[in-house]
Amino acid sequence: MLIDDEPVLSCLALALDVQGAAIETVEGLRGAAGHHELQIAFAELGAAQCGYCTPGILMASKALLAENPRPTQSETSAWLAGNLCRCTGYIKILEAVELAADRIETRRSAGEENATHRQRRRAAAPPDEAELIPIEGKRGTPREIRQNLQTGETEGVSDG
Amino acid sequence: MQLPQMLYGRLLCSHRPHARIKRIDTSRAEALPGVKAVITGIDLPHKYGILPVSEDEFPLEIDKVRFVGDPIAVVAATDEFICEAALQLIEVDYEELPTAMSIDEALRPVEEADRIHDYGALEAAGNVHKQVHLEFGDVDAAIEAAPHVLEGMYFYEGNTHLALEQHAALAHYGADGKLTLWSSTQTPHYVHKAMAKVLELPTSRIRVIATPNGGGFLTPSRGKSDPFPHEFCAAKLSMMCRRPVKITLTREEIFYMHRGRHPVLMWVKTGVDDDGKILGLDFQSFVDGGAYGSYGVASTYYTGALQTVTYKIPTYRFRGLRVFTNKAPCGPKRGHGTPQPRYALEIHLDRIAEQLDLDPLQYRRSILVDEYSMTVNHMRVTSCGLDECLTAVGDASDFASKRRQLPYGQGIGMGCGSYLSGAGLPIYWNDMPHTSVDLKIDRGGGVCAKCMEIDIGQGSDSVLAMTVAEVLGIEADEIQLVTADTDTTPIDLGSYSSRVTFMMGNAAKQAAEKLRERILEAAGNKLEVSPEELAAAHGMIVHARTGKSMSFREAVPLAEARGGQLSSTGFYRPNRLAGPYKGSGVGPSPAYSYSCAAAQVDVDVETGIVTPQRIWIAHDCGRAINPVLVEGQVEGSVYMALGEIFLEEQTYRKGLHKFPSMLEYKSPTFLEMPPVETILVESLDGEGPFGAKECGQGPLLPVPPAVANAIYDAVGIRIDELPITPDKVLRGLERKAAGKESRVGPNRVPNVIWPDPIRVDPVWYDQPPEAYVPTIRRVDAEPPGSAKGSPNCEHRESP
Repeated sequence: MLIDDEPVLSCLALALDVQGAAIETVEGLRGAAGHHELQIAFAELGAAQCGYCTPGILMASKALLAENPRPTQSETSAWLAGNLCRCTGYIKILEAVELAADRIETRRSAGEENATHRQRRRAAAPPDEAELIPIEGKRGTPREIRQNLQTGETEGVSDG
Repeated sequence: MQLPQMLYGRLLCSHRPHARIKRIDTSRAEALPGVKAVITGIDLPHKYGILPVSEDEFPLEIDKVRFVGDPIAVVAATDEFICEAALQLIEVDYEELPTAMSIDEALRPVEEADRIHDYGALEAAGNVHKQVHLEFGDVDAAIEAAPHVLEGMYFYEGNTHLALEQHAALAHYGADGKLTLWSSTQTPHYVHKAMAKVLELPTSRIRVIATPNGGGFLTPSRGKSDPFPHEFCAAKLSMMCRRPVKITLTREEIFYMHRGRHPVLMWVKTGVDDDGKILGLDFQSFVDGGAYGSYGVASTYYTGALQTVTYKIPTYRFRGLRVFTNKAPCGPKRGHGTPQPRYALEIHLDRIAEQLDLDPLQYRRSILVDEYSMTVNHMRVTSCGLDECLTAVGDASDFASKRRQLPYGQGIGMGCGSYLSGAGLPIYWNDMPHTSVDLKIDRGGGVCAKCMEIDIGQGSDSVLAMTVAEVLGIEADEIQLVTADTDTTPIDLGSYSSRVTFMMGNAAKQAAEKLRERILEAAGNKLEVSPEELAAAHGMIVHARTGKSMSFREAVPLAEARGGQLSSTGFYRPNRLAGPYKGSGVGPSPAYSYSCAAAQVDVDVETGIVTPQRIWIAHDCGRAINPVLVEGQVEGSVYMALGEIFLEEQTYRKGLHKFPSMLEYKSPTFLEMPPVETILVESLDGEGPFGAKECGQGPLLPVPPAVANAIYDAVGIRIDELPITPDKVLRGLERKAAGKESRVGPNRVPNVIWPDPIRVDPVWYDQPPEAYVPTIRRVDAEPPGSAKGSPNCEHRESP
């Protein structure tokens, strides 16, 4: 889970220690407006198999993208090295983080706000759902998405 | 999961590797406030075991314990802390017995009373569980006459599944006298069957629900395909306390309960001609079974069964032996008994290629089995895309120009493999279907599919939905699934032996076809066209010639009006495939998957550390019904193989597991994982649903030998023993520098007096299977997107 945007092992965090902090778990990743880009990318690319490790990896990835919006695969690997997965062989997770980063960046460059909790609190503004993007229709087959990812054409598959 | 009034249970496990239980006193534990019940072995006095030939376990052992971790008592209390305290109060007196901790020790003669089990191959000295000796053709004569003879010895260490979720079971014996068990099992049917036996309840009063979702449970690494003690204990405690009881095993306990990969020592001898063509193969395997039978008899046969389905082997002898040892019992892990012999065989072939100066890739291509042929040991081969796999991997990895050309310390190697698309025979003998699917369509056009299959992360739910959707011409996400519940779903034997896509897929297809026929008939009647000319796709039923159409939803009420409720059952049972000999039941499958992998490695000659740089793998899955998930299975198999090659081992010191924790039992992280290039080959099997075969286990097999062969290419040493650790690499390099044989691996196998062979007349590899069993060839496979189907199965050209 994230405590003030920092990834923390939930089993080692005492409730008393985090009074007043912003706590975010995977349950909150999906906002009122829809699933987070990471969740969408994980589902599309098959980055979750049994799903047991997925909450931890999603939250750690979210923290990664907050700190480094366009990580290289080796940066993602180093960041996520504390999260074990026995199903996927990690490959599709790396691809999904890359795809989500790509899409978030596309949104951001389109002028949409994407503040972290800390920034929001600093601005004393109420939290919003700006970084949560609803699923609108289909986004093409996973194969198309991946091909587009490889050729860098991510905008073409955001709808239909 | 939580239920009101729920109690928690904890097991008391043996601290001794082998001992007689002289006395158990639970009175102090029972007196502890909060403890609701304590039971020991005498409360559950019925033996069980996944194979009918080795029902050798009690849920709680009564007279003796056979490994550290063997459960002997269980406590139910209001919380887990009280359980823990109560366990400390149980007094157990043991009388220590001599232990057998290795294959060699298990083969030593032992006093009758000190045997680990009082059954097995008792005619042999020591703790032998099973001996097999099969001979197909005159192997000795063939090897004698061969111009080149090669012998080798190999060892594959045991390792465990390490499924991320811990095993857990929640039992609730209700006021209606009915027991419900929620369990993280892969085989609800077998658990149901074993529960009825052990608890002495009719099956109608037991409901087993395998819990697949809500946080994720088992990995597809075959964590739980046996019934486990905690399931029976939770059930019994709930029956006694009349309250729900939950038992979650600790990580440490799961290392002890294990049922993972068997350690196997192997001896291989081949005779080949000047082109490397195999004339005879003589194979021995020594299987370290751990303390109980589990799937072990099948595992033993599996170490000998599938050598023949990849390459032409005209004469073959297999001798296999499984011993009991005082270690955690072994069972099936991804590839069940086949990665070990595959490791041996594929390194062995590399040696032959080396000796005869042949290119390992072209050499393998020259000795491949024929499609639609029989093997010498009566296995039926149908579609085989191995040649395409070899070519694809060779091209993608640039194998020919890299082999022997990379700088010292870098190398490339190759291996192949094959695995079952479901075992041809069920675990207990019967003539019933292996799987059934029920479909029901409501009046709004909603489709519900029911099947006891259990999605353990491998995506079998998606295969069920996609297959039904494909046939009915609707979208997969419109289908509702009810699965993995012995009360509400029709039989499926479970998620093991890579059987679900092939078998359940066929049942789902059959069930959906029955309903499609009725729906098209009703639509044809309404549209006044022949139903045969109608196609169903994308939720519409269309008559192409006239352009007349109606929606699926409109057609459903018409069909119900004509013939009543739209429901159907499809089922699947493989052809009788077993050959005419004892032991032929292990190995036959309605179709085999094939795979080929190349590995490029970097060997640091200073530290002995081997770093895989890239893996290329081509897998013939027949047809990829869900290509994303097939790739996921292939990549996951490569990952799991790399763990077994470099890191993972289930080993012991003085009867104790060396590292029963996730911190010390090392498994690969993101950082250890090299890039993997996955190529899917679609050979379109004639009998698989839409041509599909398995993909969940087979892709593990070619990776270990590919890596070992790559190390040889890199630095000229053979590591014939897994895991490949830096110390072994350094030892190999030292031996090489000293001018000794540059290999690390076993140098001897036990000298065993084998039983007389079962001599079986060979079936020659080039005889068509029709001569023995019915075979459907792939020309009959119905492609998606044909007149009657819609392209819901994403069709991919084979790369």
